[in-house]
Amino acid sequence: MSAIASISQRLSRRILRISFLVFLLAIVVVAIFSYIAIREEVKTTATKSVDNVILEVEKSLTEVQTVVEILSGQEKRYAQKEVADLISSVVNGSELITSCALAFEPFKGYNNSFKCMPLVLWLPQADTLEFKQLGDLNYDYRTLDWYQIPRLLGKSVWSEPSYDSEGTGKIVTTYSKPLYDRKGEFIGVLKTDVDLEWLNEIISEMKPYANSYMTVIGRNAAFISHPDKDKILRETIFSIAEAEEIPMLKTIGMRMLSGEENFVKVKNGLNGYYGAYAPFQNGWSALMVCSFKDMFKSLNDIVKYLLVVVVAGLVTLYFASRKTIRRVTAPLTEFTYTAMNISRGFFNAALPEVDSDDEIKHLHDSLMYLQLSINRYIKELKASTASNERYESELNIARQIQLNMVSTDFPESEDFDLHATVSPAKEVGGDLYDFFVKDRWLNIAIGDVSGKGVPAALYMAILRYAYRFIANMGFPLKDVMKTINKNVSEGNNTGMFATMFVARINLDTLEMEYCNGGHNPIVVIRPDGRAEFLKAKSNIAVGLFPEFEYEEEKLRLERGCRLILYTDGITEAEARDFSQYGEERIIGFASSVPSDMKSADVTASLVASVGEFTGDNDQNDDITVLTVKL
Amino acid sequence: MKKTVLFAFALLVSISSGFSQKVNFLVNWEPQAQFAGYYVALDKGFYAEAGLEVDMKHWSPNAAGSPLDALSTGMADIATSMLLQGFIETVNNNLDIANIFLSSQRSAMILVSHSDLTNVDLKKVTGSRVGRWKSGFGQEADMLAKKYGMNWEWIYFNSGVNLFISKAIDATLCYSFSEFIDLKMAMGDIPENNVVRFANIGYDFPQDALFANRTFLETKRSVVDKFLQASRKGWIYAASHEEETLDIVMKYIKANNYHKNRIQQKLMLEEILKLQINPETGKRDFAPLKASTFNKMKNESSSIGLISGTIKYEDFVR
Repeated sequence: MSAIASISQRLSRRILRISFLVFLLAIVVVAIFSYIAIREEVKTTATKSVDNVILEVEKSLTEVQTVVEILSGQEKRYAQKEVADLISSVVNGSELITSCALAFEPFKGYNNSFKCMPLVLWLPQADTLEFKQLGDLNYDYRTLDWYQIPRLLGKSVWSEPSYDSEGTGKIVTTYSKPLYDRKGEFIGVLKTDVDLEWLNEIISEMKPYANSYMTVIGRNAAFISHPDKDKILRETIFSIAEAEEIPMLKTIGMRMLSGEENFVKVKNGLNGYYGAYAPFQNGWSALMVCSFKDMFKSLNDIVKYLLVVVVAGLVTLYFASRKTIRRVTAPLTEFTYTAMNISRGFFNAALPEVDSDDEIKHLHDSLMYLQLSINRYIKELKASTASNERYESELNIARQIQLNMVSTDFPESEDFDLHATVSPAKEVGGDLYDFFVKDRWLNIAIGDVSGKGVPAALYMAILRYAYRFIANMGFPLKDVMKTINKNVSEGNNTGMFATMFVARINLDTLEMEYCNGGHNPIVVIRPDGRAEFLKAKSNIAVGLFPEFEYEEEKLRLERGCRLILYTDGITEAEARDFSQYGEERIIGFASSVPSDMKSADVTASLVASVGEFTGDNDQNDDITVLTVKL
Repeated sequence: MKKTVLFAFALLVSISSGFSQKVNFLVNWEPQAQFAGYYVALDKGFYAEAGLEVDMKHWSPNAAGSPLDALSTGMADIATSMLLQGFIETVNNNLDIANIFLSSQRSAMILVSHSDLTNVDLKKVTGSRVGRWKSGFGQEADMLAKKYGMNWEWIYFNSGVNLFISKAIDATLCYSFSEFIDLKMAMGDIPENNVVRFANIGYDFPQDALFANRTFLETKRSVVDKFLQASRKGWIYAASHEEETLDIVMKYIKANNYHKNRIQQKLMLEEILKLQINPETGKRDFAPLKASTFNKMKNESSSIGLISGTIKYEDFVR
């Protein structure tokens, strides 16, 4: 059941993931195109707002300029009455003008004094004009910007806005016109103050987005208008850039001051803005700031809604697809029970009925075929198992017979200490050893039949009895080997052969006669512990050439000498890294054998040393060892 | 019992107020970070700790006369001034004042031009309109102009930077801690090639100084010493607590209803603190005016007729 649920969950999740990616991609595409569209819309709106403000403000400023230029353009006499008429008419000329004054150069005014500055103020509450004389000693207008700049530049200028001198908190800008007498000599400046309250009103109306705002900076980069009143005439665009560490704002400010117009993006930490700016004719510049938050609010909302819809849709899709998959895969549950019954041994368990012609039907047919195959296989297996059991039983009997062929009844003698062991790699093996004492001669032999298993075992049995029979007759060893070789070679159609080493030792003189038929060199350990391989002539193995003439050799041994005879199961035993035990290790082992060690212990130690060397590796050849100490 | 406690408290108050020494302190410009150390000393209670009751007043740049005149006549006990300005006024007007402290070790005077001054021989720049303060600072420029025979037309202004920005003048004098920062805040950037620093061309007269009314100084030397000690403490505190100092400065600016922004004051404070570092020791040690600097100031002023009389170092620096 859990497997079925897992399939439906996995498939449902996969569908969910793919669907999510598809929806996400769709949302991203929609968002990108919407972003581009919104950006263009904002650009148009912001730019238009800036243009409209500039148009409207310049209309007002031009009105003031026109009044001043026309009214002052004709007058060349500056007697008290004419001056009073001039500045009064200027104040009356435009509703934007709050006051007008004519500041004279020293002794150029109608009163011929050092300072002369008649002023006309419009008093809106009284709806009347007030005439004042400001040229007293404490008011040195000649060092003020509105006087100095037009005087030095020789042309009318708009001064940078400032708070009015009356301390009302109103921001005023001044249009100043230098005046000259009939001789063209500079005589003073006609100063016209304009209250900029209306500028803030115009600008505050320009608010296309909830948090967008417009600001105007003067030629000195100071804010003339700003939604944050504390910034007006107190901060410049560069002080904001410096304080808030927005280098881009500094660049924008410099471009604004140089009269450029543009639409730019500004990042300030997590907040982002778009700004459209353009210059006024008098050097001021207007900047419309639109926050990303406002601009993309609708887009963010749409994306949020889309995400909610997508998530809800995906959840629905997940459960619907899971249900459908479960229904489609329901027969799998019954198949699972059937499979479980089969695994428990009920190979003929009933399969569910399937009407469809799809993968489920294929599964049904496959399981049915599986049942048939299993039944057939089991039948064959039973027959095969019975046969193997018989074979193994016979093989065990053969093993016992073979082990009985080699003597394990090691004699206890004062003349020698002998022990041997054989360990077949399979149930039966091809190694052999033998020993017997006749007429004070100790006869010993060891052999290794080519191949393994039953054929080698049979061959070994022949050799064992041939050796015992022929050697017992007292012939020279070369004849013993020749006779054995002739007997096993003739009629040998199997191609099998065996290496053999035979020796006889006179227990009184310790003279050893020996003949080696292609067998591994035996080890001789001298009484002083020195171990060496016995030098022997290289005769061939028995069973190959019936007429081969064997040679025998002699060696005088000493009391205390020890012989170790072994088969190649010792030297060719392999470790995990395929290295072999080898002859050097045998010599090493022999050199370490204590002189008083029993032969049984020597035999066991050598076999154990080989076992330690091969570790977990299976024994791949028969192992036989025979040791004798004189 | 209650009456006894009240009487003892009243006695204590009267005794303690009796020990408090009043100091009328006049600052020669409107509130700004140029005087940060004094605001800190006042606000953090360093003057009060010294047993002083300091009454700090600001001199309006539009006011007639000079703050040092007011100091000389006893309207104030201690006043800030530009050192060179104070020196010239002391000699010419025979003011009864003495220099008691240097809060700057370097000159802050700068000439800023609309054009690149690299490789320009100032001696050959004649007929230029150059702005300077109506209130009288900038005598270093007189020395320079006189020395090289420059035929500059001085255009006097009250304050601000609009005259320069409008290009009604070719260049303007300004202080590195004040108008120069205003110019940067108004123009965005000023290339260093358009700037000549008087400290680098042989007119490195320390900028800001404290002067004391001579009678006050002679009769209340210990009060002056306490005032200077507390003022030093104020400056050292300002140097290590810039943000807190700015808070204090902005408080005084707002209280006086001036339109200055914090970043300008921050830059001004940094520059003022930089001018306090003694170029010879690399430390803020408030070293007194050196006799050699005094002599150079005197000789340069005398040679171009800026001063009509003379004064000894021992009489000027007390």
